[in-house]
Amino acid sequence: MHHTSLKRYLIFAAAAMLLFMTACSSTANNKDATNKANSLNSQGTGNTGEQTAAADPLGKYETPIEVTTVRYLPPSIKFEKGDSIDSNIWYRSYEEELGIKLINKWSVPQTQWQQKMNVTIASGDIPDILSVTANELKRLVDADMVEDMTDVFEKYASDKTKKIINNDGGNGMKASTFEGKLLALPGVSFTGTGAQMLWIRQDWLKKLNLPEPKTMEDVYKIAEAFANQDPDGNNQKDTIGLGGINKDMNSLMGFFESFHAYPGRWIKDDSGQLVSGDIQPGLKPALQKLQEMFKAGLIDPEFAVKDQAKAYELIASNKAGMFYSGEGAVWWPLTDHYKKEKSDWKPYPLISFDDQPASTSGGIPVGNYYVVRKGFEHPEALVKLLNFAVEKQYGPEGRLDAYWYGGENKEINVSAFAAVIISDPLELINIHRGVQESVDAGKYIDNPIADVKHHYDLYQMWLSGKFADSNEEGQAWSSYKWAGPGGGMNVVSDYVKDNRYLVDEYTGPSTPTMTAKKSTLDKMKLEMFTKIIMGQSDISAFDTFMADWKKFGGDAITAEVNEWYKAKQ
Amino acid sequence: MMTVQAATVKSRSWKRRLPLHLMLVPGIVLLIMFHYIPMAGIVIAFQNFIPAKGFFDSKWVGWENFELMLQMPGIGQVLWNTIYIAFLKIIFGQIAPIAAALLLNEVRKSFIKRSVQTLIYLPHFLSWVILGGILIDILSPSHGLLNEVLGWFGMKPLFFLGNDKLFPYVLVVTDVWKEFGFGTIVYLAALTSINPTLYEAAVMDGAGRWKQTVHVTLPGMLPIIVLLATLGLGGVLNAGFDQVFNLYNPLVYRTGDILDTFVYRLGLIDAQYAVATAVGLFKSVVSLIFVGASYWLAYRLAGYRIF
Repeated sequence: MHHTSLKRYLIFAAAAMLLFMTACSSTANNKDATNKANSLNSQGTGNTGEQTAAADPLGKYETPIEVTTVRYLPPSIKFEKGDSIDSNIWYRSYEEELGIKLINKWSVPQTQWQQKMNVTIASGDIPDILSVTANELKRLVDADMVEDMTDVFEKYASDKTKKIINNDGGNGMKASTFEGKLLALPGVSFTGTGAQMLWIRQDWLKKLNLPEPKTMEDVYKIAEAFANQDPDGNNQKDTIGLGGINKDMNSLMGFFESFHAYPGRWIKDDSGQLVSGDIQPGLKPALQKLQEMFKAGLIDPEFAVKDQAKAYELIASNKAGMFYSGEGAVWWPLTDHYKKEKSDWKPYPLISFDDQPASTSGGIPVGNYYVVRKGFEHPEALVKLLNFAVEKQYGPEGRLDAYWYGGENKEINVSAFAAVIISDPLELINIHRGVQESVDAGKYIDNPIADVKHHYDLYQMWLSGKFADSNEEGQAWSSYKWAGPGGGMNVVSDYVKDNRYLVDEYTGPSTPTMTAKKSTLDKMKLEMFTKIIMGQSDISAFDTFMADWKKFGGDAITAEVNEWYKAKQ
Repeated sequence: MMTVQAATVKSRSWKRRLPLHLMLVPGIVLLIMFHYIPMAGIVIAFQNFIPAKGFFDSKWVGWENFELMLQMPGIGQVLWNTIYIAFLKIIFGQIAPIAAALLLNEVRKSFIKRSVQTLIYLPHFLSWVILGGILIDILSPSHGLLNEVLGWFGMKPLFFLGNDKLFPYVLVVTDVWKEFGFGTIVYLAALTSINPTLYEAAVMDGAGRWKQTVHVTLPGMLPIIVLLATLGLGGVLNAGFDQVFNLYNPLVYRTGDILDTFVYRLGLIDAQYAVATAVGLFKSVVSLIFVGASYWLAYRLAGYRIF
């Protein structure tokens, strides 16, 4: 009963919307590129709103509507003068072009986001539009707090949006669908995000006459040389071998992966069962090696008390010339470092410790989901914001620059302000491949992704060596190290090409035992790993940990995860 | 006759006191709003709490959450850490400001006295988030200021924040350092209320500064010392979330993890509201017992009563 009335209401709303939007687009200003695109996309004008009607994906609300949301600020976010997360090019455009006045009920630094979100969801008072994780989505769905988007998406999503959102093979849409109902829109992740590689300072390598690493032995040797042979030339033994390590050990992931170990991920074993990467035997030699390196003074002795920003200070202060990270390291922390030191960094794909090639385990396949609060009068607003973001990125006249790095300060990533954004999962790799194609051809080859031109131009600027100022130089350098041949995306592209990019096999929400025990198990894991690396525990402690892990809930979690996996097949 | 007079005196004094009582109202309203009303929330400790369903529609599960809590590995250690750290903090958190107040009381130059007072009071205004970052640098074994100083005396550098034997004491010392200036001001205020004639009498009897301190100053401060200690005992299970959260790390989980950080991970990270509330309620009950016991002790030892 309730359901039918909701449906009827939606259809009515859609019809009403459609009527005034056709009116709107006929009077629209033709100079506006977006509106031109709209009228191309809009079909079925004059239809009276049966389910088959397609709505104008970018039509403007005649009377602006207010839509609330909440935001977090990533550590690297920067604003133009006078701008803020509440007022910037995206938010102003939402209002001007869509008639959607987006209001941030609150915004917090990224570090406080999780906590604040939990409180928000617990309070039951969620904003109209919300970006959530798989776990939060499950909780909202269980509590029946989110709107069914099935019909709205079908009706309002532009063709481009539909295509892009499915470019990950439909994984994201599948994960957003519960009992046949589309209850969220997946914020599709880039393929390759989170894939780690080894960044090494080339000027230090050259200075110490070291060859490029081919085996893990070479990596240890470089670490040793960086720690002991005074690469910074200040006649003090104040450098370390492998840097960037924090207390959560995020930047050791690549090191573990070199040993075919994937802590924190779920991987498939030979029998096709999912097993936790936290207790795989491959971790043992990796931890043993780290312990040796720690004893030899190749690792920051204080990594255990530092967060990522603090750990990166060693790199910023020229104390470390090697660290594991994703391709994004070129933006943070390396851009600033390059501008200050003119340091030369190069990313290397992971090297295996044995004869099996090393694979990288990327991040979670779907990073976030967008949901609409149940009962919100304008669920289509979310779809429109999405269409808008897609149009700005991939439209025929996509004004990429204005919404990307096109502001007054070319360093500012304007797209970070967008409240709703999805990107083609293959886009980053395609940007790199596009740039590579143009580099090979010696001239820019037209590419549907406008970013290719942007990065190719910056690449050329880097080669020319002529920069207006140090910001521009930093920008050109980063772009060259990111998209150019031999850059970070090149490494990722090769991972994908060579099938060395694994995805976390478990994409479900927390299982009951996970909710009850995971924080204890994670605490145990971190404690044990840290103590082994620092030599406070013997390597045999790993076996004890494995047994404890299973006993204190790990076995139950594994069973639940496999149940989920079997049901998904 | 007598009764009439008494009544008018009483009503007059009541009238006189009325404005003073009215001044209490905002405080009481805030107390009710933020301390008594939220108490209703403890019911979720006995429920399988689902936020969207709220208090009224979540299922009742009796003591299940408490049983789950007691089964958690490491809960005993966490409880012990909490009590141990909190007791140390109460003891040293009392001694330091008393000592500082007594010493400052002897300073004759008011310029110096005031400057010192302000300086030791300053850290009170810094948040643990900021202090956390600063302390990591100050206590660092490789380039930290403190280890540098210890090095002058031929001591080997200590990894204060990464050593689980030292960590509880680091917590106590840094907490005392941050807060003792605040306590000092309270005790200095208490000192001014001591009748100066007592000192004059003591001097007449031939007491020096030390004897005056022991026989006049300390007894004069005793009520406020007992009061603050009693209040401190009430919060014995509050070992200081902000501080521990900003300073702890995997190396010191064994001795550094306290009930509050435990509840934080359980409640706000894992969204286990019901169990987290159960742990919190458990903590409150234990605290209540401590308050009762300390109040009784304060009465027996110092004849001190609030009511």
